[in-house]
Amino acid sequence: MKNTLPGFQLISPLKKLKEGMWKNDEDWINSIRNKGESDFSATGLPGTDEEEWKYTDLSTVLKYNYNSPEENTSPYIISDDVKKIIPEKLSPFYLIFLNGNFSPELSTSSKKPDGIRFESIREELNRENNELKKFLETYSPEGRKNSIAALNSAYLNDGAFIKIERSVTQPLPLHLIYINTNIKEATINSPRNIIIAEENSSVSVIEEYIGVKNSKYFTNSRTEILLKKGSSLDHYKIQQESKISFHIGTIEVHQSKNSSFTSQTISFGSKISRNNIFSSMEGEKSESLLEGIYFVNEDQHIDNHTTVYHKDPSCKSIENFHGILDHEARAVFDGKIYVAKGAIGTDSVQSNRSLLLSDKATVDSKPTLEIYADDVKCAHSAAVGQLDEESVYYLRSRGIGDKDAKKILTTGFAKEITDKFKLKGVASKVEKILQRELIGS
Amino acid sequence: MLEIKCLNVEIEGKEILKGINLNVNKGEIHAIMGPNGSGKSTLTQAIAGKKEYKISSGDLIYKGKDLIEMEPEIRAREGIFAAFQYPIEIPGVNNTYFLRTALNTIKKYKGLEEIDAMDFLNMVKAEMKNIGMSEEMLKRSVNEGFSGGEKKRNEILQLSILQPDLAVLDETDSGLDIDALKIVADGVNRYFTPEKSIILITHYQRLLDYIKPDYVHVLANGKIIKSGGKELALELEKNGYDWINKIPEDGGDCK
Repeated sequence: MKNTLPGFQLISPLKKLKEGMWKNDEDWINSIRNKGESDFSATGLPGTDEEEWKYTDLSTVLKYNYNSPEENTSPYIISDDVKKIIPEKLSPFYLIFLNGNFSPELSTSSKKPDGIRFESIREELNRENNELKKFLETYSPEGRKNSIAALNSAYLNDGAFIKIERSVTQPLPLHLIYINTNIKEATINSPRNIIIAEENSSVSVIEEYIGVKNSKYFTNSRTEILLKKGSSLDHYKIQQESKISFHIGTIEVHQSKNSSFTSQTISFGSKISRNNIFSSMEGEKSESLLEGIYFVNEDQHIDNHTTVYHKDPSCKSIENFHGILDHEARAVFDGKIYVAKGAIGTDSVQSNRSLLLSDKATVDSKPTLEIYADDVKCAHSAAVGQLDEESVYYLRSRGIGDKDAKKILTTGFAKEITDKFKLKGVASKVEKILQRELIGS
Repeated sequence: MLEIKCLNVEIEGKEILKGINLNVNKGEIHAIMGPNGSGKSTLTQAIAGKKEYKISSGDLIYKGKDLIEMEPEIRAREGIFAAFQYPIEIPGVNNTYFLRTALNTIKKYKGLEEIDAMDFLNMVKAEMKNIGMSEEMLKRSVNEGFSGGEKKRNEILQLSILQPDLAVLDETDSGLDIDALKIVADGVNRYFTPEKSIILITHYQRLLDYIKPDYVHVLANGKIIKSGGKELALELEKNGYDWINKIPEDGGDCK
């Protein structure tokens, strides 16, 4: 018998939304929501007896009573607390979401990039964007079948819609900022982001999730990406949320021939955070680079799950995840690489390294390879350890104090990932947050 | 500058140095020569303060201060620098950042004004030119992907930037071809003034063609068995280390 978690709390706010905020929405949107709701109700949240959730126990997510976001958020009054935590914008092109919903008030000075549709889903729904409608109704990737995705569909309302026209290259990133503020009552925030990159286009997107201290919420975000022939997307996700909040974030990308996808997942976590990254290479000579850095402390739990499908020949995937854990924090890494029959010339490397700053921190690292083709190159590795004593000594022998030496080396471990970021603004932002966290840790 | 008296050092319970006596004054260069396994690197690490190298007895006095209880970073700030035989690679830690942090930590300790990034960069670039290092190495991580020779040059770069009072150079010549050896020796000679002291640890005599020692000591089986002037190095070059084994073991002055 399956030990699932019913999760009625998670869908109870839907009634109020349907009678209120969503009352005038079109039927097709409501039918997607209804299907999501019934699919979720049928299974609930996954329990730890499911292989995919073995190390991440979601039962604490159900300890809150959830309310719908609109109950607590007046879209017109932006409190000083919120203003204070708005992060530095890394581009003139940005959209800010407050408790899951687009905030036109906070996004007023944002500019529109040429050749790119860069709007909130809510606005696009009001404008009857047929392409979006078609995408939501018919484009039904694998991943939407699970209950986490169903729950996101049940709350389908807002997020970002990004469509890059053919051959458009935008050197400046598109910055999506999600701010969560509810302190009194817990909310469930379910952004759905859609990115469609037409042939030979090139862009970078930053998703940044932050929360007011002590705010209670459950972020269940879902980003669906379609990369057409020869296109490239450089995607960054920065997550630094309240330590009593929950986060499940899914990124699903489908890649055509010669496309290139880079994903940098940067997590400073919440109470429980789970990143699902699913990349499917469905055209030859595609490339997928999935990298991540996470820093967790106290009783934080971080789980990175990646799945890379090599469906066609001569595709390349590289995965590197570095984790830093302090106190009693726990990290899970589960990386799967599937090489389909016929995907000859596959080149795949995967590595997960964890740095433990305390003896009480724990790591579960599980790389998996499933290969059904000949002539492939696949390698994976996992390592868990403490700071290298020889390196600490080397720095100390040059006059640097023990504490500073350890800080420099810990930062260095993270910089092995951040140094490779094409967006230097993201790298310096992440390094700054890390410095702050290391002092507090 | 440095006084070593009857120094016994052990690693994991095994005695490596067995009663070393050495007196290094300001303005002197001492060469310590010896076969592999004689304890040369142990002496370097004992002076630098590596904790695995346990001083079981004896004295280690630097500028009148007892080094034994002093942390390695304090020794460095007090003016001791050890160039290691095998400098470690530190991925993710930028070479320039590392060296500037070290210099500013030492300056701060001495109550001097810290150097800003721009002035530092100019200073480092000038030094790198002197020792034939490409500027590209400023952008790299500490020693990461450096060849053996590049690592040694990087140690000498640190020596010239940090300007310690006592430099212990552990086999800085090993793995260098003759051109690189000359460049490294030039770097050491530029650093040296009558205010400084150098302990030069080497297996071969050839480095001493370029850096002229005032004294040469022969280290074998954890003891200094012979001391003399520059001519002792030539004798070693001629006769090798075999004759050392013929010298009978004695307790020395320390037992």
